[in-house]
Amino acid sequence: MATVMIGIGGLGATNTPGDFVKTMALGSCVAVVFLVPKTRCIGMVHVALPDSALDAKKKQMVPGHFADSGVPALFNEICRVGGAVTMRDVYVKIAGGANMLGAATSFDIGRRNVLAVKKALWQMGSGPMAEDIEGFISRTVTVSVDAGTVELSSPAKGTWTI
Amino acid sequence: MNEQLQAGLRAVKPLSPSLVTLLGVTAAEHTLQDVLKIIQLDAVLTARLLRAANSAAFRRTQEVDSLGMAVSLLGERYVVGMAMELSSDGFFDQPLAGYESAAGDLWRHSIKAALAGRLICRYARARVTVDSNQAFTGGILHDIGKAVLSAALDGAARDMALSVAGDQSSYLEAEHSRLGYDHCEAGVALAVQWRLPECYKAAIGFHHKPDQAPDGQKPLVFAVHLGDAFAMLSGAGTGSDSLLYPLHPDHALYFDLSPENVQRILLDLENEYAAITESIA
Repeated sequence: MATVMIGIGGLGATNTPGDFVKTMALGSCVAVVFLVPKTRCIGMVHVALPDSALDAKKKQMVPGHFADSGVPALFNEICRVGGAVTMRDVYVKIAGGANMLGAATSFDIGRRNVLAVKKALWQMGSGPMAEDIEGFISRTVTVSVDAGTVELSSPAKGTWTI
Repeated sequence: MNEQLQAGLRAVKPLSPSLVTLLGVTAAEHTLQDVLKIIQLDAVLTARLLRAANSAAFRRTQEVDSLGMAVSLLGERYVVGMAMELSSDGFFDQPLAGYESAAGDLWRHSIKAALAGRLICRYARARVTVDSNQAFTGGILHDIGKAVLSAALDGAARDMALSVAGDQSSYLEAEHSRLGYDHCEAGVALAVQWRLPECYKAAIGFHHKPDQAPDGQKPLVFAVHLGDAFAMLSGAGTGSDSLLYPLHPDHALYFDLSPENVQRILLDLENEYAAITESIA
């Protein structure tokens, strides 16, 4: 049993029984979770920014940093680890995209991240079946291979699942 | 002064004399030689700086074998950051039980706020003068009051966070209504005890109410206020209070933070944070 830790811009997948995939303390970042019942594979990408046009080199080196490159990269990873599937086989859940209280529009990076993730999913013919997004809370996300659950926790709210 | 606050302050050890001197020197106009004179008296800090300068994060073809070269390469902000970490005797690494914050969270938050505050200075409006090195050091110091408050808030974090998230007020007000003082006021009391320069007292005392800072310190205090926000947005909070402070709209008077600039700062922040943590490891 192992926990695959996903840092900012990181992505990973596993289909090993007993494994977890986890990312800590999302602020404005968004965790995109792929669950594939067919191959019992789970994966996550920790998206920090909406658009990879900001830095082509970073996109190449750390595709998970951006929504538009991270979401397709996660799909490639779950196919590599669990075997080939289509997006129809994938259940998508997303969490994060928080903001500061009273932040002006220019600062609303959390919402921009959420919208960019949804756009990237839509371009792949998919969308989230569950989400826990925006607001003013930090979220830690843990996904279990065995249970296929997406558990969220926050100092302000305790623990819950989506 | 509140007795509980006095007890919290008594529990904090003094800063080392060399760090107090370094913070004093770097808060005013100074030269590289002024900084070197202080550091060279500290063998541990000198060794750590040389090791960092020769680490993979600062790859160079030639070995860095002098303190002067190391400080030039790493930059003043890095030197001050490492001096703070080494000389504060675990102060920044302690868990903050009152905020449900783990060991190391305060240091990660402080370093990210410091780096972000410095990056924000690049986007200062034309008439605004702000010292990016002061913004960095102010960022490291801004939340020292939380270490003083933490014990008094033990067990209260969940209720406070729920209350603030519910009515969208401010965690600062929740601290004040529970204890009669908040982490900014406690931080200023500790800054006096630590004999910190006035600019840092302002950064600590007003970082959640930057509009109330003395006029001459407002650009610095707004940079620290924003640096704090960027640190929290990037996932480096200090537990239960993360994101639960209002962002003051007057920041736009001092800094040009368009959506593009906000994204650029977040990107550069992660790159710089990765470099600094790799070199410290």
